[in-house]
Amino acid sequence: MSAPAVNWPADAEVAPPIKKRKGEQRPYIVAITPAAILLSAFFIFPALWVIYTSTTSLSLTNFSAGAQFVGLDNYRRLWDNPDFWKFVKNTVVFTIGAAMIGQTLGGLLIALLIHHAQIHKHKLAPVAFTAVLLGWICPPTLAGFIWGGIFDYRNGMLNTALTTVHMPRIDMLGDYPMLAVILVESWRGLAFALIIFLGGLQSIPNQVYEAASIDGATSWMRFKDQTLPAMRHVISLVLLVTTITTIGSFLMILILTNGDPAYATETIALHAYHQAFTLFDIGYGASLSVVMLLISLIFALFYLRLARASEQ
Amino acid sequence: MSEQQLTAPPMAKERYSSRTRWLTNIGLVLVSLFFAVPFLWIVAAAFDGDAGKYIPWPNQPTLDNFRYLFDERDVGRALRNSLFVSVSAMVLATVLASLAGFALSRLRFRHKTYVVYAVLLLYAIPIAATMVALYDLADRLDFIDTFHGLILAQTAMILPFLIWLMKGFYDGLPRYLDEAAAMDGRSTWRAWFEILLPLSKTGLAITAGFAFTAAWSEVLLVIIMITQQDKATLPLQFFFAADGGRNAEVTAALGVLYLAPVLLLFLILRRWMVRSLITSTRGL
Repeated sequence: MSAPAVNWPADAEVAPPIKKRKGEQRPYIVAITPAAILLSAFFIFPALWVIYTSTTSLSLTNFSAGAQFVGLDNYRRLWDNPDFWKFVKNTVVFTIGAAMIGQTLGGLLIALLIHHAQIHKHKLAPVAFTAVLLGWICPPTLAGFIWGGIFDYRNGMLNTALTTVHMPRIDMLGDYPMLAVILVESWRGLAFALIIFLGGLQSIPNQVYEAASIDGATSWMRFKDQTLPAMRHVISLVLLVTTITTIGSFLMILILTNGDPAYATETIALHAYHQAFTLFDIGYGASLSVVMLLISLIFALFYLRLARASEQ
Repeated sequence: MSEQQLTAPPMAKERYSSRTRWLTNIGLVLVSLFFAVPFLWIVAAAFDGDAGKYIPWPNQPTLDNFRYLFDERDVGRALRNSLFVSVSAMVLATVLASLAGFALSRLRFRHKTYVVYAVLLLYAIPIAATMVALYDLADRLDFIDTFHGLILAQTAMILPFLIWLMKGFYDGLPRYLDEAAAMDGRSTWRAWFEILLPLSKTGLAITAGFAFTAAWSEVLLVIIMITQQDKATLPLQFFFAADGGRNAEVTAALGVLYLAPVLLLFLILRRWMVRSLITSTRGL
């Protein structure tokens, strides 16, 4: 709690909760109503709209006349479309690369480094921490633009640096486009993981480690036996948040590669965006969105189970 | 046997070799460079007459890029629009989130944990998936090309995270504070307003900081809802500049204007924002 300087004693230490009379909860329900209305309108309603529309033939040509119910036809078309499987594959690779490896694993490694540096009072520790946080406030479109300038084959910062030290140029966006977008997404999102992991590391009492090293544990054993189990809950939380945000994130890719070359970086989210702007085949596009919703929800529920399991 | 070995040895300090120190420093430098250098490029490019070469410092230092933006591209108006929309969304979102966070913190009902998780899970519904639906909704409500529509939509988008944050703050303020106030004869509302709100000032500032940052950066809803040139916000202008991408130095200047306010706000609020995130996640 950062707000009060006072350390309030917990409720349980002072008094049992006052028994509520019937109707006393009403002010709270009033307080929550405006937020609930907004959330329903802008999250729940659109989700239901998309699910419903995915079973119709809605398109720009029959928008006013009304669309036909077509059952699962849109999904069948999706299933038969070879490009769709490419988008699914890209989404999975992008999510594993950027959320699980880049942000979660990378965030954990950088958190361990900075935590170590903080303990030993390195002057550079706060510098590195602030540098990572900078990526976080960079809007996705800006991140795409900046890294486009860095990866540019002819005049980009990367290749300018490589040629000055007499190394061959790298065509990141042409030869390794997926690696490039994973790198940039991790660059932008890593701060959240870092903050949460640092908080987790700082909450592990020092005695735990001291006891372990008296027993002669090496640092790897200490990490495996003490740090990792203590961080399980935090790790599943970070996995949950980074995965959800990564699956839905496409603005950076849109600016950096626009799905090119040859659909190599076209994820489901980006394709849903491209599809939405043709507005020609809305029902079909909606089925694409439903698939994305399903993937997000499956991931979310999986991690929630993981988090709850680690609580017990 | 010396006496020292019998007592618990002081940790870390003695075994900290200079090799580890150097390796740590190198690691820290690499991390700092990787995360900070991209920003150096965009700042340099923004003040360069010709950013085509992508060198790390301005080749021909100039303010022309900014002058061009204000004179020819009407960035002044876009800045005003952005500021109006973001500040309004910030105020609205902070008020709604603190009300809802307070309620969620104090309400008692079965399966409350699930509801709190469900609020966070709304983020599993990405705007990318619901874009056409949001357009349809905005169209039905006559929100297209209106600022109030955009403000409501942006408020809604950041609410789940802010509610969760504010609930964390109120969970840190014990119940007996407002319950005692209520027993003194105040209504729940007055107890909240007179007792809890002053105590959660920092929480409100942080929530407002997150809200402004999110609303200022958000562009997708603007793409969906704003079609008129004179209603364009800065993120929208940047989006089209970066998407069509002709002269990098002008786009870079626009990018610097896009980044500057949130960067400034962030540098002021950084410490508290970081700490609040950590405490809120502990509550989960």
